[in-house]
Amino acid sequence: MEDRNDQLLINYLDRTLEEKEMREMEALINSDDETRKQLRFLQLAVDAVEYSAIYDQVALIKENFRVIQPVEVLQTSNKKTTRVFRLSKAVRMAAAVLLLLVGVGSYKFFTVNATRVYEQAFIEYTLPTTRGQATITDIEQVYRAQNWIGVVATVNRLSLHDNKALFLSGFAHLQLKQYAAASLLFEKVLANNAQTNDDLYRDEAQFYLALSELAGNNTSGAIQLFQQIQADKSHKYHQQASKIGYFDLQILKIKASR
Amino acid sequence: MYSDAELIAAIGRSDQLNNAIFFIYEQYSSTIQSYILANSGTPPDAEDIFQETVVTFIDLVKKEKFRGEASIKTFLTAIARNLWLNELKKRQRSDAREKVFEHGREVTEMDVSQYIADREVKQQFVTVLGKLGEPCKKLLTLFYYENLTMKDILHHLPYENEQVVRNKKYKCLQALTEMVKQNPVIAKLVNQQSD
Repeated sequence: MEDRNDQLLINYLDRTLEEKEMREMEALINSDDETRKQLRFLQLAVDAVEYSAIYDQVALIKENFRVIQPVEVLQTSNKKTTRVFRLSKAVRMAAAVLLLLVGVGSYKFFTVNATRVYEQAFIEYTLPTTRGQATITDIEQVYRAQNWIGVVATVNRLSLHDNKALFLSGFAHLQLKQYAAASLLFEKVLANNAQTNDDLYRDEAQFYLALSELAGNNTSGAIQLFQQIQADKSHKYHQQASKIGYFDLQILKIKASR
Repeated sequence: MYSDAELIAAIGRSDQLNNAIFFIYEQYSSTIQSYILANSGTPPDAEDIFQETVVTFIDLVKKEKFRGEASIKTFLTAIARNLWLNELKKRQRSDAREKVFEHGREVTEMDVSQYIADREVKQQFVTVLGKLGEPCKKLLTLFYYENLTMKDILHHLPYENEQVVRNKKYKCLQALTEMVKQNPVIAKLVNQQSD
């Protein structure tokens, strides 16, 4: 009962109740001290989220601003007026360029995130047109229809899981946003290849493993894989992975370590 | 370069907020930090007080509590002065407090004490959120601060569907509310208000 009241209060706070329910909740808030107090705590929790978000955002800008802050200002203690610095034209130009770089850097820092990099690097995997075994054809059919749940189910029904089946199932999990499951299957493809000294679906598995790690919040693992692919010019996904800039990867690395 | 009105408008737009904060730092940090330094503050004090001033100001503007009763420069200076007086009081530096008070008369006569009355509670907000855990903090921030829909949140966090996000958000807010209740400074405020 308490949980239901909490849920209703949260919906009231989020303004997602129907009009009738809103009125009922308002009546309850007006008549019951405990409900009113609980609502106040919920409001304070939301205030805390908002305030803390502003705090974090200002702290981030402050760190960026520090790069160009004139140190002298902070050293002129006990003076009532701020010193005015007269800079030469060359220094002013250099400061302007630095400011621009910091501005661009700041913009990059705020806009680069795992989601954006994922969207930038993601590319649909297209099946080659060659025919395989009958069972694989079943997978191909559901795969081409982009029936991702069907792909997973079909692969699960197979008694033999070769690299193609494992990879397609991994890709289907990736499309279903089941990143941990996707990673496991791609890793299995890589492990099979390592065992048999083969390279069947190796490049594909490596690239999509990087993507699923990125989406699954294992940013450092993803960065390592992307860097490997970018360093290998013969890798099938070298060009695709190279769409992610060096600085974007560095920013992701910094953000991941925070 | 923003006029006061343009700066207020930029703070209200999430896509311009970073630029607006950067502009505030460019425009006002040296004057206000010098003021703190001239009144017994150390460089870290000056930086911290200015940061808190900016956070307080942004919070007020976002909640539409800044009515433009003075220029932004005057308002920020008054907030910083009050925050610094408050800080000195906490540190029991009466000599320095007198100096700030006298100096303050030359700078501004504006009374902004109402805006920083709940300073300690705000400080606790940051502490409590720091203890909540990153996934919950991110989810609640996306919903309540960035105003994203459940569907949009799916693009930012690795959840399976909107219902999962909804359930997770409910649990996170419940956990945070419990932490808020357990925080003695915040609970004291609520108890004072209900008495």
